[in-house]
Amino acid sequence: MDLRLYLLQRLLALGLILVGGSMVIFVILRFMPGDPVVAMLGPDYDQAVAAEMRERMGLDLPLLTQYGIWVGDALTGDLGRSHFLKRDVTELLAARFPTTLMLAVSSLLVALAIAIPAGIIAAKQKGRALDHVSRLVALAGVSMPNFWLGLLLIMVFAVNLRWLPAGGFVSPMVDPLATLAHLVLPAITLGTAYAATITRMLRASMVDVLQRDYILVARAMGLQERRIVWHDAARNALIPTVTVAGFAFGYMLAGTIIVEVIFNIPGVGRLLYESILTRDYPVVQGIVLFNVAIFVIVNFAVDLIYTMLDPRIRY
Amino acid sequence: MRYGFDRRTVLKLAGAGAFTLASGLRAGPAFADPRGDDTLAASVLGALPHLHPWDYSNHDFGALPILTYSNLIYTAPDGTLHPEVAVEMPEVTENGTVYTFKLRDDVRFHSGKPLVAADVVYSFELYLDQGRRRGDFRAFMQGVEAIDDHTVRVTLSRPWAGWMMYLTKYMGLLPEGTDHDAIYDTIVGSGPYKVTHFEPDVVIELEANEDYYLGAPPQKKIRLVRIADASTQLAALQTGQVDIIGTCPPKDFEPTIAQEGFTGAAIPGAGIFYAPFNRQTAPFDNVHLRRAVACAIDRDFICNGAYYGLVTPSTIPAAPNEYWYDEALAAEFAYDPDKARFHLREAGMPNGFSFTATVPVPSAYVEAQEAAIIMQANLAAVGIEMRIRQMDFTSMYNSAQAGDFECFPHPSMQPSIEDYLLAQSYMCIAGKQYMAQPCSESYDEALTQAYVSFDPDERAPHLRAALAHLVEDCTSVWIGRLNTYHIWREGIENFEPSYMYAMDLRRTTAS
Repeated sequence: MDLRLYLLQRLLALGLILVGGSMVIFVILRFMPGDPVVAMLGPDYDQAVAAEMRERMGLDLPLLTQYGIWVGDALTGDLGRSHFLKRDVTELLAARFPTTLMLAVSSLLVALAIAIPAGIIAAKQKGRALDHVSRLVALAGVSMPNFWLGLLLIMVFAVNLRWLPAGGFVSPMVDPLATLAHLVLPAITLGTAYAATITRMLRASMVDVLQRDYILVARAMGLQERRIVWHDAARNALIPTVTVAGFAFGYMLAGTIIVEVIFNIPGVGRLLYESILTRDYPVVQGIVLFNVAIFVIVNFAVDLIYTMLDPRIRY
Repeated sequence: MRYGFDRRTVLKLAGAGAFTLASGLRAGPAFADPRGDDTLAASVLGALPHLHPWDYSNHDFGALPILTYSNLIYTAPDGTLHPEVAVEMPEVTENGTVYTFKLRDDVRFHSGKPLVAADVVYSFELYLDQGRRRGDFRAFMQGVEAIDDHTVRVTLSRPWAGWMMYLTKYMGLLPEGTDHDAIYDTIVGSGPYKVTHFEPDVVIELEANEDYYLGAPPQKKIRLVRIADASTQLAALQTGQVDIIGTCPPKDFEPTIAQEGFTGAAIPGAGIFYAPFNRQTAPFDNVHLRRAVACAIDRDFICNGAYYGLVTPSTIPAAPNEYWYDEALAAEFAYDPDKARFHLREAGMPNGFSFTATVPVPSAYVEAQEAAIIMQANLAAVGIEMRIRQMDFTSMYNSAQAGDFECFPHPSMQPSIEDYLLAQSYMCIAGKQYMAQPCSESYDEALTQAYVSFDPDERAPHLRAALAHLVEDCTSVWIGRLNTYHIWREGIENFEPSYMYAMDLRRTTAS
């Protein structure tokens, strides 16, 4: 297939997914228990004041009208204004997304730094002690809740050892080393769970590749084992792993909520968390829509990376 | 000859880099939090969404308007009222409806403009038109007028001395002509600090207003940081990233202040943990069933066991240390399972009954489920079955307004217990009866008498008379008063928890 046609198809799919996603999130939010006006006014709110606010916020309009207004504005790049923070959603996203992106990239690096050697070594040592240890560690990594690991890391490395900050974030424009220091613990927390998933995926695919005929031929030809494993086998085994890593990156971008709350990182995840609690509809809708788009784009990028890893793949 | 890096060189360089980085990271807290020595850093659990002095519903945010705006009167951390922009406490007519304030002539806004009576009148008018609590203000405020440049007269439609408690929490004097929407992004006040940097819901940095009319504040810079998780907030204090924290998990309070280098304090504040009954429908339209529940609850165990002493037990709305507390009334609902069984017999239900308690999830200040579970066990011991219905807090407030509940155990922060909660929930003339509470004229009479004056000695007998009504009707199970509690590091001076809950950092210094 022509790459241009493929791109067109993907863009069309992105549009359809965004429309579907916008409808789903709009409907779910409106049917979710809770009331943004009450969240703003407090428990003993005055009924007349609440009615005035509902009217001003457009919450008294029919749902279809509200949806139409929101989608119409979104098409012009206006995702609405936060009821709670009194700022445009696009402005909030622009301010918060770079932080989340830095966290997701660092977490992915942590995940890959653990998963690639662990997966390859486990496959190479299949059935031996190192393999069992790696699988056990991977299982523990998948099973460990983020909030628990995060608090544990804070306790050990921030409170007891005083090596790293307990939370917060410093912009790299202010102090790049401080940025790095603030990212270490959250990146380990978020990266560990995905490292485990990627390790298991890579191990399975390496085990499969190492049994292929061309590996047998390479060994018969007397090539160095290290070259066979790291160059010939790993490269092919990485193709399915890239898919998993791509998904993981998408999830990291969209799923940093708990880590951002625990480590007090002012990213999109924490913003989403606060906005759900306060029923800040424009912000929740805007973030979800943005995350849907990011997820689709990341997966598209993964498809393109395939072609680089395996020249046989054509779109 | 080969140029470039072989694998071993790359590994060596990577190792050296990692070591250098690790050496840098070991620098610890000072590195982690790049703030100057002259900055006091305090963290709050609640949101810091904007800079508006009165459009907020979380009480942590109150720390900001206290630092940046002035009011006619302010509430000190111990809950007493003091003149601020006013030269002295107001002259009040005998019937308690006309307040005359003489204003200082040396007050200036941060812009340099002098603050005069017209600014006060404008601020109140703007509040009555757009303020978040405008419904409350409209219910009692008849008018505000400038008598001359430095005299303001406030006329109320009925006596309510408690309105002045509102000022520190929900007001802020603005220059005449200020655009309401502009003050979400800009501070236009006349308080002791000016905002120098603001990231919504992340951080607010302030510097001392050297021209402050009550004298330049002792601390040059203050940093208010938002940390949304209580455990993370505690860790930030322990690592030196912040100097004072607004709250922490209750179980960590005592162990932390027992550590060297930390201090803490807790006082009963303007918050309360109580469980109003819906007296309009069965089963709680029967006063004996209400009393049976009230006598079956072990408040000491809830407050000290579940909340580690950070809720002060009390069977009535007043805390034991307050001027309007009444020991005899408090004894009426002391923990007594036999008395609970007696009331069940009086109600004609010796074998008990069932009801549903609506519990907010999540709750603010303390988790309501913990108390609810203990209440459930206490009640089961006398044969009463309490079912727990968990509900999102905003839905729960709607249910409370609609009267769609039987019993509603929850923590609640108020501007004042005696001046706000008692009026808004139970008075016929002022109340919203939002907990479906019927009112009585004699209760109104007692409170109206209490609200003529702001002198505690004059108010106390009338407040006790009102309390007697609440006890007689057994309107709620009063569990205890929420304590305001803070932990701070060594070297912090002139700081104490505030009755109003929000941190008052005006006089605090860090060394």
